Amino acid sequence: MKKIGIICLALVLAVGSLGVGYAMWDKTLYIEGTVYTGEVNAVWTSAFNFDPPGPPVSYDPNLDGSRKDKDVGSTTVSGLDTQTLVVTIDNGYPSYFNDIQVEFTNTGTIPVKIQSITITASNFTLASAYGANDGEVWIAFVDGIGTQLDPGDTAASSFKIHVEQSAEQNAGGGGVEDPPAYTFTIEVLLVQWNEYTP
Amino acid sequence: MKKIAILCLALVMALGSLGIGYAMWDKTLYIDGTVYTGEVDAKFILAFTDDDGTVDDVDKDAGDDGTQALYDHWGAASSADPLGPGPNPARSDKDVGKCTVVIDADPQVLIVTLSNAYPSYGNTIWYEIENTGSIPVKVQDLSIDPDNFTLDVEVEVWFTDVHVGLQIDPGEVVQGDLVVHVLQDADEDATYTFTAEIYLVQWNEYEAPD
Repeated sequence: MKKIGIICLALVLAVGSLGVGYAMWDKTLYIEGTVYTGEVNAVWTSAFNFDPPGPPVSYDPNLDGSRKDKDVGSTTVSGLDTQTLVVTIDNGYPSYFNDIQVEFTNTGTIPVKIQSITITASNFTLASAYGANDGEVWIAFVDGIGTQLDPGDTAASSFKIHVEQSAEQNAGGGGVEDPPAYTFTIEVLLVQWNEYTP
Repeated sequence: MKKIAILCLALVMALGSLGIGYAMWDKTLYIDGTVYTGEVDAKFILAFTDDDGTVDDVDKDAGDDGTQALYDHWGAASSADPLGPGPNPARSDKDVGKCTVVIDADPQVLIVTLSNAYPSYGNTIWYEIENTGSIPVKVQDLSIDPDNFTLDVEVEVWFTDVHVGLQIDPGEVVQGDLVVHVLQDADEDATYTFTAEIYLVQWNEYEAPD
């Protein structure tokens, strides 16, 4: 028994000395990093409408800047300070025209560039040109592709809309036989300036 | 009976003389030993970045002079954004992001901060390490530990110059750098944190990697 005890003690001492033999001194240096990313953001900040609903009376505009002699149709614009402008034409008719002067502002912290402008007609055919009559509505957004906006900068642009001859009556009238209102979307794609692809 | 007694007495005397026969004069000599151990120690003694608005080393960040051509988010606190890692990189015409570094109150810790970063923004953070101990050390390991992102997905981080196996003798200073680069998958308005470690060991205990 005593021998076993001595052997165990010797073993413990041996193993202990083994541990002591392999210990090493060390030091760790640390680099603690934090990355705060910025933001790409923009909103519509202005929209000048040449034909708001009255009062006062607003004769319907023409493409050349003149006015018709009647106030028949009207346009409303809402959604400023958001990313979506809502434009509504009421009582439109073939040849009804309007030019909406818009501005949008870079409200983020990263410079942006206009990468693309896309006009999508939901339920009608886009006319190829003003008066081409190969679609129900002609829409054109002033091309500013490649334009750069630094944070806080504002870009001015406009889009024109013209109801063509082939447009149907009572679109959106709500009646059983009435066609739906013509709806469209204009997308202005802004990308961080250093990722812009011409 | 008498014989037995005499026998016992003789035995006792014999045993007693045995004891006397083995006593000896002795003297012990002593060696008093003292071991003073050295120390493994190191610290950061210098750190700067390539986008903190200050030229610290014309061979490394000569363009970090706080000026830029077109857009200036940070004024003199930062410079035109570097377009790549390494010494004296080409620069953007805009100052959008910023990168600062400070040596903590604990000189074994560097604090690095990138601000208003965006995909493609990147920085080189230069530092100097001094072996302030009395034992040579070697770099046993370099590691990057992201807290809340996946390395090489949102942000990539890597060491250059300082490498595993590099030896630093007492009093010696070595310079290295850390590169941080924001990737396309990084989120906007996010905060990503990480810890990079430089593990130093006494030089004779260094184990070369497999």
